[in-house]
Amino acid sequence: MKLAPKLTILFLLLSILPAAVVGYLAYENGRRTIVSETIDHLVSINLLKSNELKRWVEANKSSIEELAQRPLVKQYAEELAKHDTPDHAYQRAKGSIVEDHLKPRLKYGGFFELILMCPHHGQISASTDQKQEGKNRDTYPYFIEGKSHTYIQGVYYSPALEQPAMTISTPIKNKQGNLLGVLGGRLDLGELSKIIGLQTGKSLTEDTYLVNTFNFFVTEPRFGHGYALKKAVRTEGVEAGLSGKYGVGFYKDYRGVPVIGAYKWLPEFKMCIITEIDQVEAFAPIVRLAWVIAGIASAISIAAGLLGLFFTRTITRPIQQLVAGAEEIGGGNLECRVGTASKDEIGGLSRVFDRMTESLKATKVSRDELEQCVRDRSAQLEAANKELEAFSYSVSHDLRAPLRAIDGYTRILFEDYEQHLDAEGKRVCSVIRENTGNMSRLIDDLLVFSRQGRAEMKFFAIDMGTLANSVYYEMTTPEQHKRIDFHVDSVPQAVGDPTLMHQVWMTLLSNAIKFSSKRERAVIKVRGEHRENETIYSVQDNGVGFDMQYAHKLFGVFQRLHSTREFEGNGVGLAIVQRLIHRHRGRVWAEGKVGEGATFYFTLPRKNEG
Amino acid sequence: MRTITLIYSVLLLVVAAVACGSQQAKRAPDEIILQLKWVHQAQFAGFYVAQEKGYYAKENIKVTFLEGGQGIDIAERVVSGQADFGVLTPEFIFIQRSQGAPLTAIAAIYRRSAVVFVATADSGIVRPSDFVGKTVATGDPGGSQKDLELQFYAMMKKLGLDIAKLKIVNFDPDYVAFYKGEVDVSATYATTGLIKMRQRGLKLNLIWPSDYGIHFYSDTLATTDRLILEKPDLVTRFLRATLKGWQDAIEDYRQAVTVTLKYSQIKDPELQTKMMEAMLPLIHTGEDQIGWMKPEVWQGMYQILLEQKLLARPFDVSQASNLRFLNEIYGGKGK
Repeated sequence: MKLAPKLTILFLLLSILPAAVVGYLAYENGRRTIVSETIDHLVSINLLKSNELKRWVEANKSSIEELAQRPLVKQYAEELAKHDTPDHAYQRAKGSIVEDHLKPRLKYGGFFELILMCPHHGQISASTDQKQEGKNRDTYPYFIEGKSHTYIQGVYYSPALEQPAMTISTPIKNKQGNLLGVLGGRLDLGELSKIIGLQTGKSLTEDTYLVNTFNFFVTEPRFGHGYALKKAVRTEGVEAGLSGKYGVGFYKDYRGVPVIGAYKWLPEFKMCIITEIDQVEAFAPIVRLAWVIAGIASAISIAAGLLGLFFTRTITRPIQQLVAGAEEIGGGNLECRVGTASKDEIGGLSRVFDRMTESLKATKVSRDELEQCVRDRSAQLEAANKELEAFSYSVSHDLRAPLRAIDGYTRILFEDYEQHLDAEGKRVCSVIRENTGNMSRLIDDLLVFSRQGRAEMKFFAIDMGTLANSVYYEMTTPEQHKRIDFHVDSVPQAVGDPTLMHQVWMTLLSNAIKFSSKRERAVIKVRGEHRENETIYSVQDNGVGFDMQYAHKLFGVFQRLHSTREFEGNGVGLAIVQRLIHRHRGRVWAEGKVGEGATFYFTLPRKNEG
Repeated sequence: MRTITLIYSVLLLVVAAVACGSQQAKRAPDEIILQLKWVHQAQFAGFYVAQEKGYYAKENIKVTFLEGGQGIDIAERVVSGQADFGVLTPEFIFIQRSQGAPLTAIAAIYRRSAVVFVATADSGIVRPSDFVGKTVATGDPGGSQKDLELQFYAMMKKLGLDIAKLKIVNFDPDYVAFYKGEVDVSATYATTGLIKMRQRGLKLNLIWPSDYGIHFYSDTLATTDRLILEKPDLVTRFLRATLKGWQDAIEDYRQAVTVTLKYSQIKDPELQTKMMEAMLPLIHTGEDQIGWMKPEVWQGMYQILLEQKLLARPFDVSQASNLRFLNEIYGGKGK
């Protein structure tokens, strides 16, 4: 990965990580605060509403107890209990109690019906609703319990009213404590629903309701209709509340919607009060908070990213310049300068780099000068060589003319003045002619040698064994064959100029034959083998050999280790061989010992083969 | 090595347990025939819920419902063994028992009677004493509506009203004469007739016998003494599943209506819903658990039948109902 994205990512990480951590902590903190506020709110609503409920019931309880304490009510109740059959006194007592005491009380609200029950059979003797008169209430808890104390019959389904009902009853007793009747009041459940269902705030889902021990709704929940005493509810909150617990929970409500709910058992009513709020609504501020935090975090991240990008650029741009400069200089343009003005480490580096380029340039200039110098010298050398060759050619050529003149005039002298010359004179003449002949040959050889340096070479694959054989048989007579053992081993092929190679073999073989001619049986062996980069060829004889001390002289022009008298030759052959092998980029050398023969080696590079 | 042995033995135990379990599950379910009091309708919703929710299956019971109807003697079906359990009203249990037939109620599904007397709101008839001089349709036309007549006479007697002073005609389930105004007061059931009347837009005064000291159970679940004696476990299982079905039905009666519609002949969701709503307070009275019975109520009902001379001969009323299974299921807690 390149430096720029690396640094940018690093900057991003460095900014996102703290933002995320701080954001999460802020969110958690906010969430806890909001949740605990919500819970406090729900719990306080439960408390508020259950207190309201208690107050409402207590007020109605006091109200009915007050009625039961009135002397006139007691008097009429006694009257009604006394008369089994409806006579005049009975009717009057009933009329008075209903009109003067029961009906006015309805106006205060709370009760919608007040009844007076006979102490013996629970028969309704007087009621604000005339239709109810005559009904038996002897099996109803509010009558049975109401005979001895003030009793609240919780919310139950009244078949007579065909709706949920709640009744408070209280005994009417005379001074002696004898029961005169039971006063019952049916509570207006509309008020109960109003108290429980009252919306305390702007919440859209806050929902308070009462549930009885049979798990049935007692009041209508906010999101249900006709649920009161008709539908059971078995949510976590309700079950906890009905088991007498007091607390809060996160669970699914009667609609299956996740809510936060507070529950409280109301022992005096044998019901539990539940206040719930949808988690979606309760958590809305938390979600908003999360969004705000996420927004801030992402803004920080974006800013950090951009800043990171900017700073990365300021770092990477000089580096990129440096890279571009290095590439330019690497491409050969030593004039290029990075030239960064910045004062930081990279600026320093670029300046050092520029200095380095400067010195590189200086070094290169001196190298160029050197090369030029070498070229000049080579040219001079070449020119000198050419001059030398031309010189040697012309020398050898020009030397012939006077030589021919000497030879010619000596012959004329010998032939035309034969009668004038004595024996000594004739001998001198023949010596002169013999020596001019020698000199002429020397000049020829010199000419050959000087030409070898110039002839153009043509490379072919050469079967060296065959070549050596054919050269041997070209230059020897059948008599010689009898005297010489000539062996050619399997000799590798070579690549070279065939004419020149022919000359090499001729020289080496003729030398071998020549120097072994004094042996009774001459043995000449030709060998060849591949080495790593080259092929070594050799010619071995069992002739007179030579002293290794003078080995270096063997290949010099006109250098001889033996006298002409002993062996003929003018000392140019091996010099030419050396020259030809060198032109093939090979090496040549010799090994030998006086009286034990000699071996001449030469190599040819194998790469010529390709 | 020891570990391997242990693992193997545990595996064997598990396999054995599973095998035993499946064997137990494979045991053929007990087949039970339940005779309903009337045709399929919301009145029996709890049984349908128990069936549909697999409560019977969980007790390894296969239940077949037999419909009732005009002219079908429910009690006789159970006594003769054509059905194992029957849904029927207490008076038939008393009548059968007084004739020596071994019928026993094991639970009261409808703990308040649906029987109600109605008069139009403008008639001025608000209590039984207003019946005097009027025409009342409550006579038993022969069938399973004996309870109408029974409760009427019992109420009038309790209030000391002279029935000679009013005209009694036969009950008509179509209420033709009542709608025409030829009949002033008609007996009906809150769960059926009353709904029909109100659907016609009638404003009615309701006179409940229970307001005048007549406490009757309506549908009870009864079986024979023989089954109780021979297969008490089966009775417990069947009752447990049934009560669970009823509990579900009253806790979510709209769902119960949906289940009912699978069975009922009248596929009228509105009618079945209204019926269900009328039934709820009769089943779940706000006191005691579903199906709970009180001996004093049985005693009271027996007294009424005895007074009306409907019983062939007196007998020990405690034999007519058996609280043993309810106690077993609710752990002795009625409330």
